[in-house]
Amino acid sequence: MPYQQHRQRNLSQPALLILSTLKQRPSHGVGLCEAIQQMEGLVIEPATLYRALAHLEQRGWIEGDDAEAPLRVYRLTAPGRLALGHAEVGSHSEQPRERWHPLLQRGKELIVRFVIWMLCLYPLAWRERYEQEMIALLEQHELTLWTVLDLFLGALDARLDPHYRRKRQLLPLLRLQVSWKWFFSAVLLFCFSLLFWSDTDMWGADFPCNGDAASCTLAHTMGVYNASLASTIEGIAVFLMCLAILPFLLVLLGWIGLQARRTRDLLRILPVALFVLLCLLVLYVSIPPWAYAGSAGRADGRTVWLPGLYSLSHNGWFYGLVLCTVLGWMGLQAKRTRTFLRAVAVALLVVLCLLAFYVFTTRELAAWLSSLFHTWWFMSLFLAMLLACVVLMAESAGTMFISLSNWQKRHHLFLATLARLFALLAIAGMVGVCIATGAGLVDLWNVLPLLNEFSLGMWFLPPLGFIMMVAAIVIACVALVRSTLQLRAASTTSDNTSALLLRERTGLKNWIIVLPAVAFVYIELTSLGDFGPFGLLLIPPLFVLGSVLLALAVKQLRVKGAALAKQEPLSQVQQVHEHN
Amino acid sequence: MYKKQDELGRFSDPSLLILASLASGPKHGYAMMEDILQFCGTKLEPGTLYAAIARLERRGWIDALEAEDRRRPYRITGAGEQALREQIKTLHRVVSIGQQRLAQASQT
Repeated sequence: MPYQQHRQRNLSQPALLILSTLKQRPSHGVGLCEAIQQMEGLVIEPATLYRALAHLEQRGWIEGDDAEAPLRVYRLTAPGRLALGHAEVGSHSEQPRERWHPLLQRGKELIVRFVIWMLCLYPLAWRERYEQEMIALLEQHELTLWTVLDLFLGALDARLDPHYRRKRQLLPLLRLQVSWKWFFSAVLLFCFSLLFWSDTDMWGADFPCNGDAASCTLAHTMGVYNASLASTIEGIAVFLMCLAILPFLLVLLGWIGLQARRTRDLLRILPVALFVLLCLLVLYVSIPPWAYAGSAGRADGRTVWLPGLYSLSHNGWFYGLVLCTVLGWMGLQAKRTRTFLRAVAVALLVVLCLLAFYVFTTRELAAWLSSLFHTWWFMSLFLAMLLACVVLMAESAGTMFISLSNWQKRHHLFLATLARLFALLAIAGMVGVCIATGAGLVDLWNVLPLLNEFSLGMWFLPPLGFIMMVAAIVIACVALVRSTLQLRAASTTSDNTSALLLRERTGLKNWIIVLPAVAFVYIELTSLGDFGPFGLLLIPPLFVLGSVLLALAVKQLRVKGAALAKQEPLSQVQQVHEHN
Repeated sequence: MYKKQDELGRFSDPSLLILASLASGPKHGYAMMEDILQFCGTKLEPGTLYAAIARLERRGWIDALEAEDRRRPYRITGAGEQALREQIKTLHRVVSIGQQRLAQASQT
């Protein structure tokens, strides 16, 4: 390694402080410490101070008297005065700039944060051991481009080291988190595959019998499917699944509320609450008995019960209002400019959504858009987007679900157990849906060539949906088993409290959770027909009220939880006393 | 492959500096960097520093002490001191032989 020339001007911070203090008057070590603490508000450790003093004396910049007094008095020498002058000239060119431009300061902070973020590149085991001290070091260090490059090389080196690859398995809690992410992904995948399926369902109901033999066979088969036992089973299974997933999400809500240390953390509740509410909406529309009242009057049956809800699906204003709620909430919470910018981003999203709905309501444009769905590139793009949504949502859910810092508290363990119970229920529901649709698929398989013949397009979607369903169930099962095993491992290992700083993700990513929910509801409701703007007036205010109430309730819960947590050590002490 | 793992690789130089720095007493990362900057003028970057620290710790040449706040001081172990002595001995040999040969070269 090439040795750099030592720069005379570049004094370390303690040295600079010492020199500038000594410039005013000679002083001994203890006096220096006090003076620096008074002037700069910095506490210099004795070891640092005396190291710096020795170094400065060695250079001849300060000199100590050789008196026999217990404390040596140091004074500045002529070269020292010169060096201090140089250093001050060097730092003066920087300091006023910082005062002039808060933006520059902010940029510096951003760079520091970016460099600290770079530590993510290191392997987990490495981070668990060294991250904290590394962050402390980086905050003090003068960052250059070379630092970034060096960190990158260091990360690469640690990644290539077989030592850390093996060590990853020693972190049961992180693996537990990964399991939960997998489970969420599986459930979401299942929901999406259900969407593909429901489209087929729709075709059958609407398919006309034109008089020729083939189309009549098709219509008949579809009709049979709709009326068959399979659809009933499917309805019950969907009911079961929703029943399981909703409390699961509610547990998630409680969990976030308990974990939140700042009010800003509570923001995360909103997307999940939105998802819950939208799910409830879908549940209300699609569960038996009214949804499966009869094969022929199915759509009519729904219209009798739910006039208001259908209009939502065709009304961009609903989604606009939902996003506006989010926007308002964020604006209320905004304490910093960054948060406000986030709100602006959401506002842009609202405008875009409204624009999109305007496009949809124009008939020619809608026809053009639907023709887009029949092109392979648009479809693959769409699927990729859905996949990205799934990944992001699962990530935020997984991150929210398990926190490494305070997971050991009893209520967290209880919630984890409860969540696994609900997960089991959800899987049962998913299996039920899968069996029911499997029976339908066998029918459909015979009909597929006919579908193809009538060029209904996207004939491959139902089988694809089915395959996705099976895959989702397998993934969910594996994730559940893994999480159970890992929870056990984590609770038996004594030193599972990790020093790793968990990067809480409060970013925009969490709001992505809304997108699949909106898509889900939209696709679910589009098939049901067009109605007046009845629900438009009723639902959004209800939604706003509900989510605000929910957030407040959870906040209350959190305050109580915090109070309980404070009391806990006291009661333990009391117990110990009683025991003695 | 096994042999390579045993070596300190491109971190041998920082390792020597770290050991030399810790020989005067326990220090945390930033103090080490400052110290090294002062006694030999090399400005170690955090990435290199911690890569070397991790290797030295794994070899048992240095020891992590209890963390104070977020910073964790390190201390040199017996084996580390032994290794440092050996390396210094080698360096001494290099220095003396180098000087000898330079002197010979200037005489001729």
